[in-house]
Amino acid sequence: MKTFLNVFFALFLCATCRGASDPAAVSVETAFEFETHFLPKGDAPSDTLSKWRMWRSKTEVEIWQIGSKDGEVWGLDGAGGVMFKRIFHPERTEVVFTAMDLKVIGHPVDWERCFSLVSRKFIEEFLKPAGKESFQNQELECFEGDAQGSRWRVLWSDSLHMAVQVRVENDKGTSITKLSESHPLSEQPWQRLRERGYQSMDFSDLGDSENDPTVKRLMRRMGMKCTHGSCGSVCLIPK
Amino acid sequence: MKSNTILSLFRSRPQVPGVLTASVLAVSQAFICGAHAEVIPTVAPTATTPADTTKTYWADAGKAKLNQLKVDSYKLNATRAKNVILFVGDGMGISTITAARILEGQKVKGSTKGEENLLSFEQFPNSAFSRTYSVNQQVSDSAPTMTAMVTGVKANDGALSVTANVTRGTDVTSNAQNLKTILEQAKDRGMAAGIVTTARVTHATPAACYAHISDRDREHDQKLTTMTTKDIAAQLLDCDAGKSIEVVLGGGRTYFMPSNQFDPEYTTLAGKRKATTAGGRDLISEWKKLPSRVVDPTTGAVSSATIADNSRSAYVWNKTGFNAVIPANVDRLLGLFEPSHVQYEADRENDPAGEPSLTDMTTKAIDILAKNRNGYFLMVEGGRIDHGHHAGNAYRALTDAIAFSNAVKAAAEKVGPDTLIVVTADHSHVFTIAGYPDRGNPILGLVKVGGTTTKDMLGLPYTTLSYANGPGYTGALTGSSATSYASNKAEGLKLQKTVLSEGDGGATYYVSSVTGIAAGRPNLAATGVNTEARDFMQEATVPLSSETHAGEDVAIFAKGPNAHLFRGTLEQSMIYWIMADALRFPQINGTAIWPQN
Repeated sequence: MKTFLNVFFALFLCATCRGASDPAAVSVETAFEFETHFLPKGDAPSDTLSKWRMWRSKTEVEIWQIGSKDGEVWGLDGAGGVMFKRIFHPERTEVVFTAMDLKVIGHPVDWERCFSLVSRKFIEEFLKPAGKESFQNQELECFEGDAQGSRWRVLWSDSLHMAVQVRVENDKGTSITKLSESHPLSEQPWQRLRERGYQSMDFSDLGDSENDPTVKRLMRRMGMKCTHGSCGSVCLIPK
Repeated sequence: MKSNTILSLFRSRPQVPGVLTASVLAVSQAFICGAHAEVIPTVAPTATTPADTTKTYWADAGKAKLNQLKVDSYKLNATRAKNVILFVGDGMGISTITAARILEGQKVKGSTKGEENLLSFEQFPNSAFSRTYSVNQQVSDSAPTMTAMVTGVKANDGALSVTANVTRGTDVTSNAQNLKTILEQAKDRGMAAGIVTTARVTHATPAACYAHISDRDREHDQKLTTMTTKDIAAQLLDCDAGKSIEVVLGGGRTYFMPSNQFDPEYTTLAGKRKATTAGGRDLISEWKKLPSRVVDPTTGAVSSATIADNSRSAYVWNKTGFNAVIPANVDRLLGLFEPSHVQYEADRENDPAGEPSLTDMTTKAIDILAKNRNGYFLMVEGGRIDHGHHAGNAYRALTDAIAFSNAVKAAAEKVGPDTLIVVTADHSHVFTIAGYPDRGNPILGLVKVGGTTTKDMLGLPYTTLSYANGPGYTGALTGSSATSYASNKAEGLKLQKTVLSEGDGGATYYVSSVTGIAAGRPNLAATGVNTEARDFMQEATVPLSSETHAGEDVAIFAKGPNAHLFRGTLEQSMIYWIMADALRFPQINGTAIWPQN
């Protein structure tokens, strides 16, 4: 199966590796599967490997870690902002954070990061070209550099407009995120749980629903993570 | 019913002084008491006139105020109110009023101190405390508290104008369980009515005025429920009183739109209602088609007939459309300015399509409603004070409280003495003003005594404003979620504090994070931390995703007919009884609970 997928992916990449500078050639509407391998340093527990998927359209990016109860959706709101939906799959509920909500709780969002894992702006500002590298039968540009207290190494695919491999090393450990599959969105093989039809509620309404059993459960699961700074990070490195 | 008895006694007393009588009494009292002719200071001395350091200043101010209180005590305005305006600052507890008053004094009015400032409604002659508990809650949410204020009857959590014997999430089983609201009673008497809010117009506070449902969360028809009761947005269209409300202004656009329709401002957002292709409704289009009753702009007479076209109705969704509405030409106005709640006042100027302020909405509503010679009932809510607090963000809560005060001021300047204005809150928040900061210390700043930053037992500075719970928690993670989180993340058990740069304006703010090892409380005096910045999140003692309401009494301020009845510590439901009495609703001698007829 894996071989088949690799072959498929290679064919897909070939099919999409037209002129890198041609915006029309970028495969925006794509579904991806990534693996993130984290190798901690020092006395920290052993390394972890997680698989996660991304469904990307022009205006929305949905992320789901395989096996997780939660998901995340980032989307352009059509008025210049980015909104965020925290998805609670067992409860079939999504909590919507408007662009202003995100600002209030301290989550400025970089849409480019959501869209491509690493923004081109970040690459151009902090990293330097490090030659070409073969990745799944395709020659891709590699970038390296130091930024935000970490050593970065990024393989960039113009055709997918995506960082297909991101290695980040710092004093906590090394995180390697790598694309394993991608498919045109219309042909993607995975079930999107969110398509089952979910209830939607506004983040700003959570506080008025303290007695609602579902909301209580959601707020516990949301825990500190969304209100203290880690919601945004999943745009770059998923849980 | 006790309240009925009290009011019946009040109404049946032999003689109630009218305005004239009260004036005569006031003059007589002033003469008898040898009242001073001095002007009561309305603006306290500033730093350049430090008279408040002297005994004379306080003695003179005290005598002047005492005299005013004595004179005012005889001004019993027991005349009938033609109009009633109920202002509700959602979550505007007393600590919020105090902090907002200081912030306004320091930032808006340019005082170097600010503590001596008063918000507009704090200058009203009458005030009282309101007990906000609901039938089943010590600390209430906005639904039963607003129900108490507009029906005179306390209810359960989440309940909108239904009695307490209806279980949340179930339908009423008899019409007697529906509580008729003061707005509905006003409509029955041919008065005009309006709802203005910065929250969704289907949110608890405005919805309690026109909707009857045991669960405030059923704002649109896609909210899953076993109830057959219509959702709140539909009730605004389908109920006699709801569809005849002349002015509805606020947020919540997508709650009226079907899911196969996209928002005009946030163009990727779809409506929340069932798609019209699946039998759903487009409530905005339906509202536009509702027949109008015509109000003669000269005489205020309301036509008994309706006109089928919508030539005197206007639906607007942005500031441009709102500004184009000429009250003389419009008898019905629906304005839905955001898909959900409207912007915080602090962010309103950045709204993509532009939004009117709460003051703009309030004054335009009055201009439209005042055309009706039978009078009007208007409810105005500062809905986002509450949301700012829930987010642990004092800046936005307080700036919205100041905007609310501005709306009250504008209304008070617009209406005559025949209008009762009541200003209150539905509940409080766990928001505190602490430490011993110097007079004039920035209310959003660090506590400083004698100009020196005060330190806690860890040697770290702290802010004057903080919350007893909420997202601004900065302590250790010790619970099961922490263990779970830590094992997931293979990181420390405590929180990390991070200083980030704000995207616009160059300000900085503080957030704490669980993505690293904790270092205890943050050093708020560190370079780059600005506790007065718009996005600064105040610290909280107990970790909660959303800061909570509080249960202490809230204040009521009033002026106009019957305002003098607001005194002492009242049940929140008394607000209804005093307003209804001011309007001389006949039901007050019987029961105000359905069925009326």
